[in-house]
Amino acid sequence: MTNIKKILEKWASKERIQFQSQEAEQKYAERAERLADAIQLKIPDKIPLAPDAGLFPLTYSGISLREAMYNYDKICIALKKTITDFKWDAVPRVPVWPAKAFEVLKYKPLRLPGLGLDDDAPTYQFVEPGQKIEGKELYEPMKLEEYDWFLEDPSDFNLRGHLSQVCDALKPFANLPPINGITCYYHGYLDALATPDIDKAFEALAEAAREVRKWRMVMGQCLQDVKSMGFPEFFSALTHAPFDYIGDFRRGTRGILTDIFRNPEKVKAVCERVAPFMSEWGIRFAKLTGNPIVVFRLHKGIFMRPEQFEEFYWSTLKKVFLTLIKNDVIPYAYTEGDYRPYLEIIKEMPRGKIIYHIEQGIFEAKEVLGDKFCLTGGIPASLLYTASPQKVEEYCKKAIEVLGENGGFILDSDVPLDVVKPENLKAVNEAVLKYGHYS
Amino acid sequence: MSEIQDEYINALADLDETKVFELTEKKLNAGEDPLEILNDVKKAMDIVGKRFEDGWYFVADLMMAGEILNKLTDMLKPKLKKSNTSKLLGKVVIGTVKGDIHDIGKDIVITMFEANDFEVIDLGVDVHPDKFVEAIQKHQPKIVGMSALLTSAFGSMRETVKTIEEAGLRNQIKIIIGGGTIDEDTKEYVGADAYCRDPVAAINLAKKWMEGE
Repeated sequence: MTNIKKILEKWASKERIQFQSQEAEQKYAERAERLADAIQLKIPDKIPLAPDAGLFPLTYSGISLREAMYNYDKICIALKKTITDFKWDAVPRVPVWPAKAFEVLKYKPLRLPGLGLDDDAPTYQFVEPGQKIEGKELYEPMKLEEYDWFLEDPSDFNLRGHLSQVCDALKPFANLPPINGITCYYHGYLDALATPDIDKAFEALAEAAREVRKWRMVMGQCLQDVKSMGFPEFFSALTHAPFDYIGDFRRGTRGILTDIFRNPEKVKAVCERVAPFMSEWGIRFAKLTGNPIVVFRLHKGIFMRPEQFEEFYWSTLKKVFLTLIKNDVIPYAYTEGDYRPYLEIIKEMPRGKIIYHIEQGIFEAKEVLGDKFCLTGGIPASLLYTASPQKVEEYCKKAIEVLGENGGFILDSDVPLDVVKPENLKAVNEAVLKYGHYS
Repeated sequence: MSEIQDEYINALADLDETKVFELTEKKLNAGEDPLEILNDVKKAMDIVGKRFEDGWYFVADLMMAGEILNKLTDMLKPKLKKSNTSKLLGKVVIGTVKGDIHDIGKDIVITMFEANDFEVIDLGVDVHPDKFVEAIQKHQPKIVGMSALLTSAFGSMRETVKTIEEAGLRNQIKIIIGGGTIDEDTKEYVGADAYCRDPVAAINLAKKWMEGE
């Protein structure tokens, strides 16, 4: 536990934050301690409230996603308004990315307002490889025989196979010579780059990179601002389960789930190959952002029988978790979907070293996992969307009493909020105020 | 005969793809009636559904069963005599509502419906309410299925139900919704007749409705 304590002390540190006021400084310390206590399975002063707000800050502030995805200041305006009004214990992530970068790359897995969706669409959409939209496949899945290419040289596959498949602007990369063949003076390789197509592709990549940097600068400043208002950042970087890395944007759900029957050894070999990359990615970005809490959004495990889950999904995911833990990173795993069949399996992790977000069946999860890990979740977004404030408050009372028992719990929505009634979120605050104190 | 039948049904229920196709070839070469074979396929799919209900099989199993089933149907259907096809239980119009494109659940439900003698009109994903109305007018289904994983698409489901109502078609159909975090509250909010947490539940309910006809 001492190790975790040290990691969290560093995480909660107020160094390098110019607080707006003494009160903001004090509130920051209180909120950070509240979250840190819960993560360490201790009993905080009151239930920490840290909803995964999704795009709610935008709808709440009357800013469209289309507007915000080009004008990053708007994301910050929405975030500041939301956190000022709701005073959650952590700054939520607003998942708005720089649209121009995706536009320049002609990135196909993501559809955005005005870029595949209606201008006024409230949210973005991920498109699976091979998925048909209006009868048309937007991009092809990684082929079965490409597993071998990936196993032999993942970087080469990603550069020449994957990127050229998911980004139309990077299609010319398919014609690059493999960089492994590069010899002295490089002129052979450089000569191959000097085609107008490849030139344009690199230009697109550079332009997209500049746009992402611009977005990151705005968001970085925004984070400093909200911290200075007294709100800590819960988590920052993101990495993936090896199975999802292959399944999400490469093989696709149908591809990988039928592969576990048809080509089980290949799936396992590829996941083993990916695991160290996912660990390295998590550790690298935890260091870069200075935030040791790294998120996993677990996607495709829930489609499998528990024994398949263990064999194909968990066997490599747990290696990534353990490597992160060894490197002073706290994995924060969002168990998306119903994890009740797998609770005993994910319980295997060392006590207090990982945070689990529970989307469905959190009351059962509390019983199985509650004394071993900090859990987050508890408020169904569907309730916030459809019910009355009174019903929300009643529900939250129960959630606080049962799930919050003995600490180790952070109240959160089950899924990102996007469009919900603000009065219902106010009711959540009310419930925490009325019933959330431990002493 | 019954032994090989059991072997066949079991191979399919166990999702042993290679064995299923070896045995199918064997049966066809022996001159067995394709309709008989399809009847066995149906029996096997019932076992798959039952195993899912019992919590033994998961979505990946249904998906794999669907893959095998589709391949088998493609192989056997052209060999069927026209008059020899089985009786349809009813028609279902189905789609992922506007604002959402998740289709894994929807596609599995379609496979299960088809395996259970329903004719399915698949409207695809991100389906505008008017498209549902057009399809209901054109195909006259008894059941309409709407799918959405995103909470933000609940409004779109409600809008679709409203549009169907305004077109005067609400009374002639039953509406089932499904996907993600959908629950009783969502059903009430949307104005659907039922919600289902999984494909097998949807099939069972649809069958019950058709029996009530």
